[in-house]
Amino acid sequence: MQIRLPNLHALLQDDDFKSPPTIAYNCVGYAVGDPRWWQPSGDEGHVWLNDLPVGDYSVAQYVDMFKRFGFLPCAGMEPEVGFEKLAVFGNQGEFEHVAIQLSDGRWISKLGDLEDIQHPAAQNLEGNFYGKIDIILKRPGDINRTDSFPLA
Amino acid sequence: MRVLHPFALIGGATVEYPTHEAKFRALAVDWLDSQTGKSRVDFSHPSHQQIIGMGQIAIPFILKEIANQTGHWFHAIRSIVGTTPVPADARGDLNAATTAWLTWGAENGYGRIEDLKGQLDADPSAKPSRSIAG
Repeated sequence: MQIRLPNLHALLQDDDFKSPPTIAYNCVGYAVGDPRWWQPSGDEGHVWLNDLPVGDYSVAQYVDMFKRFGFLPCAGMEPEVGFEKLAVFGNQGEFEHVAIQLSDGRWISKLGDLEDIQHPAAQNLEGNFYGKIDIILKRPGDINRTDSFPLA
Repeated sequence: MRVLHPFALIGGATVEYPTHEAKFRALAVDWLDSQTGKSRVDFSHPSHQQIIGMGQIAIPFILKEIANQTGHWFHAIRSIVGTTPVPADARGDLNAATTAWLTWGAENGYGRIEDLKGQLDADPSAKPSRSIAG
């Protein structure tokens, strides 16, 4: 499979791949710490919050969902001691991906049904495939997620 | 009388296949490859829609895919069967939903769970690559 992220391959070393491919969870599940496939599809293989609408794939709805887990919009993507940060990617207002910042400033991403990877910058995933970073979110926390691989 | 072979529309081209399983396999590979790496599954993809359109003849092929967890197949089989054996409290639980559908398959004459698992591994070309590393 040739993923549509041509600039990403050159940045990654073997030890940047942190899990085998799996369909058990996606980037959203990774971000909220619940290793299931989070998607507002209404499908029985997916999970979503009961009081949020099915079929709405807007970045705004995903931000509403992340707010339920304590994440709020913030200004910058530089690491802050005592905070976890997310970079939410969108394309024309539609949600495409979410990456998670590590305490050392690097980022981790579960790439759909593929591997968990770590990458130097959130912007490494910008492009036609995942769109652009739409919003940065943060919540209080001091979890070093490098200790959590793999989730499933 | 002319034997009608199954057709599928893939990538804008109409293709004729010798068997329904060959047609299913081509549609499955096309859909799975289109979803690889994506954070949200597109059930409206034309190949996925054509799989649902195959109806009950696709059920044994879908059960093999479910057994091998190649992708998000519950929507397709539920659309064909019209009901689901997955209990409400197992929603989002991949392994529990997989077990529920395979048990349903065994109870409805589609073969033993053990026989369904691993069948795709015998033909690696039938599955798209599942790694960013290519």
